[in-house]
Amino acid sequence: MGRRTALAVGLALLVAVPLIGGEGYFTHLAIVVLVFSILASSLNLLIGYTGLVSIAHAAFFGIGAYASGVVVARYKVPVWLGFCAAVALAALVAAALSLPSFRTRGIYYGIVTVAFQLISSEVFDNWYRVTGGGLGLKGIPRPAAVFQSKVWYYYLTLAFVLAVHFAIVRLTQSSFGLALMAIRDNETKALMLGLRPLRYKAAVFVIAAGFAGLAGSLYAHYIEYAHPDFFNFAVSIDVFLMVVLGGAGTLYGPPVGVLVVEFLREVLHGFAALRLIIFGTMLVLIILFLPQGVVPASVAWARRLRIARPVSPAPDTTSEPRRSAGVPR
Amino acid sequence: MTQVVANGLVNGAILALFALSVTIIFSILRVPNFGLGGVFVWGAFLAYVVVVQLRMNFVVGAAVALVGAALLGLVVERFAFRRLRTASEEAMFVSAIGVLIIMENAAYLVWGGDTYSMPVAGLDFRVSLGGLAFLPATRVMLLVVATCAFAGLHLLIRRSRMGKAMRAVAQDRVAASLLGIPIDRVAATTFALGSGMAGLAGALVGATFSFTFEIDGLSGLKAFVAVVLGGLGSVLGAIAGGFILGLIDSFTQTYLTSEYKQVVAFGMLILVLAIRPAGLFGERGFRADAPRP
Repeated sequence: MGRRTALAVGLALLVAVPLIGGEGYFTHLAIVVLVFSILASSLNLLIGYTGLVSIAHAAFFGIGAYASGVVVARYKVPVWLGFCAAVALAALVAAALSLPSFRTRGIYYGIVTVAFQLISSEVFDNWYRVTGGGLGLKGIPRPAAVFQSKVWYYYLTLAFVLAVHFAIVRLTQSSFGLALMAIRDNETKALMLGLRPLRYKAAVFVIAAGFAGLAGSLYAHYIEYAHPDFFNFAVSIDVFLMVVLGGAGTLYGPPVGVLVVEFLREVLHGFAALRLIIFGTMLVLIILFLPQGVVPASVAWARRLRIARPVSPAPDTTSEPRRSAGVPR
Repeated sequence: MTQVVANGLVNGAILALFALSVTIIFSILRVPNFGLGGVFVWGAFLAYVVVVQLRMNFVVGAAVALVGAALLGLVVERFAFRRLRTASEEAMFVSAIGVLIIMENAAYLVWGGDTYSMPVAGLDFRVSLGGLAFLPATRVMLLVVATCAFAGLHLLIRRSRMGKAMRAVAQDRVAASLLGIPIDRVAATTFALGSGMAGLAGALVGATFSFTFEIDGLSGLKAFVAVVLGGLGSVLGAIAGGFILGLIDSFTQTYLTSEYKQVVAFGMLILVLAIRPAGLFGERGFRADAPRP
């Protein structure tokens, strides 16, 4: 199956989902998966393509959700402006955070992102006048009457998801993307080549945060509610796991990770502690044994099987995973 | 005012103990062991089992917590970090986060979300500090035990043969292994030592305050704040960082805000990392490599 056929089949499946799900729970799940695929793929820009281990994506997700929710629910601003506000505020906060955080490297950067996640959670929890604190923010409307239908909201989300992923694909294929990967593989060498790693890191951090903000906005206007628990440390871990499980640094990996993690979240609904133990174990196991992620590993495995047989079509080299993909080791 | 300082010192002693356990593992093995947060809470619960459920002396409880946590540390080192010995810090960071989540939620599965406390027999009175401030005797005990632990650890690292091996590994792992120092054993001992300290800290906190399974997650990161404040890789820096953070916490809570006290602590972490990445007492070269000579 060629690349184009695969893409067409995938698209057809995505379009067909609400035809099967209707207004039921299945479509609801599909919308959540779509929203998280934006989160995972944008976090992948940081982890997979730039080598920045960030555990703060749920914070930007939440900043987007609250920004959009507050301006639309409280100040009756048009919803599309709310979406813009979400992206803008998340990007702005990321820009401000990138100033101190990129003076640090490696695990120090990771620690800064964890600290930022905890700070954000505390603000979501305690800033009653704006976020509603533990009571949550109620009354966030759907964008328009027609989107009261889950089917139509699904298509709205799908449009955004496709746009975001198209942007990410173009980004990774551009000279900007090449620069990011150069920085990931060897920052000193990239610097010697005349790139400015700090600027690239700050730029990609802002872009990823903007996408996360967009995801937050889509989520809040779908659930019509926002609560600190939707955007806490555990959610950051979920998104992180989605990326490294699927395969950091590959385009198809993170969405597959989203499917697996969402499936587990659904199955283990109501067993939060058990779920987190499983997720923690998965994190450790992946880092130890499968740092490149499940998708690249199974592609390589399938290819070996094919090569083992005498009569086989030539392996599709276009989808060759990069050797240095995965969590930087 | 004096009361605030006294409370701050008690909090600081806990943070310092915890920061110390973080810093020995980090400076010797370069493992950012967030999982210590989980060890910490298990230390508290182990002591609880011994003191409240088995009705034994608190000293026994603290000893059990220390040994149990050290064993836990051995297991964690063997299964979550040994294979990553030559991996990047990022990979170890991720593994550590995984360990933390596993231990925290395992504690929740076993103990539930209830709040526990353990009374220490014979220590239910208050100590007056010259009439200026009052501290429950348990908190005074905490200060004393923490000080003993600092001294013991210092002697162990400076004087013992294993301590010498640890310092060698911290300075240059490859050279150390070429000279025949058994890295695996040093790593295991370091983990046992650090985890034991964290377990002891857990037991002490359990005796001093009431606790839930959730005490660990935040205190784990706060220990990192203390470590970074004091300068990574510096033992004295970790202790000083712990006390400074404890005092700052105490003052913010009393005079500034109780809702946003983590914002202050973590905001400070980000600031310190940005302005003085080597920490307040760290040497200028971004990383001090060995426990301070």
